[in-house]
Amino acid sequence: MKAFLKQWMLIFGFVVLSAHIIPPIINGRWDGAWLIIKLLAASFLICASIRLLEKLPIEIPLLKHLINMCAVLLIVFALGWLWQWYTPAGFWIVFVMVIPVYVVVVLIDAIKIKRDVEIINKQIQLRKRENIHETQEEII
Amino acid sequence: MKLVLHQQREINETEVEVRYAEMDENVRSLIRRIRQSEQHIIGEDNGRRYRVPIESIYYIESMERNVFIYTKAEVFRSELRIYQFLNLLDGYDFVQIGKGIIVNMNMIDCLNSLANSRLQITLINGERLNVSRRFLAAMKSSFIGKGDIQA
Repeated sequence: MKAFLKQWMLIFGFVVLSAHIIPPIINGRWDGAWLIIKLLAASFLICASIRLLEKLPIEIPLLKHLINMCAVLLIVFALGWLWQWYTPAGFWIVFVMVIPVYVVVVLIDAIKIKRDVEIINKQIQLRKRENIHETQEEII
Repeated sequence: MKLVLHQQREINETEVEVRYAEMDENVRSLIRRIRQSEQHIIGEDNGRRYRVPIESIYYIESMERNVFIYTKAEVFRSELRIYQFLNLLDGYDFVQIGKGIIVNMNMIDCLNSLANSRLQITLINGERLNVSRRFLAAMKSSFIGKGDIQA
């Protein structure tokens, strides 16, 4: 299921990109493509900033998430101001857009890590059992 | 698994023949362990060079341009770099858990997800090492299966 969802989203991303970028290359009309290019740039900056922030030795998880979320908000605010995604009166829309997405991504990430840790621990226990059996055989 | 032991006084080198129906993870693991049991790497301690059996290594860590090999009770320095160890230990039961740290999978007691969202492994001697989240996927695939081994 996970692999299917991943593949689906990846294909979706490529379809959106090719549908908005290949026609302008052919007909030279870039009006509709700019939004997709801007979103691509915004998501790249968000990913890069989170990668960079991961290197900070922050021990408190809440603080770490708060800093990450501030960085994402800052990027969306800056790019939104540059590309006029919101009006001065409607700046709150950025919070509505960013915070739920960030929370969902963090939750999915936490669930995935928990599952991976369980799988690895199971494999470690299996190895230990194998080692015990081998030791017993040697004793016999 | 059936274990058959033959004593042949005329041979100079111990031979191990593995007969299997399918090359599955159990067979792969067995082959890795057999290979690992007789191999060694060179480590230095106080200017003297030692042969360190690969199976006795707990972990290898790079610190400030130096690479150290940790066993149960000793620490050796090596002239090799971490990437060279990664190449050298490819096919053995070792896994990279951080940019500059490689661990013997058979020396890991458990993996814990800490409250501060960090990951940590506890070795069988009680020592704890931090795991970079970037290496978790690679760690998982190393434990599940290390890929095909040439027979």
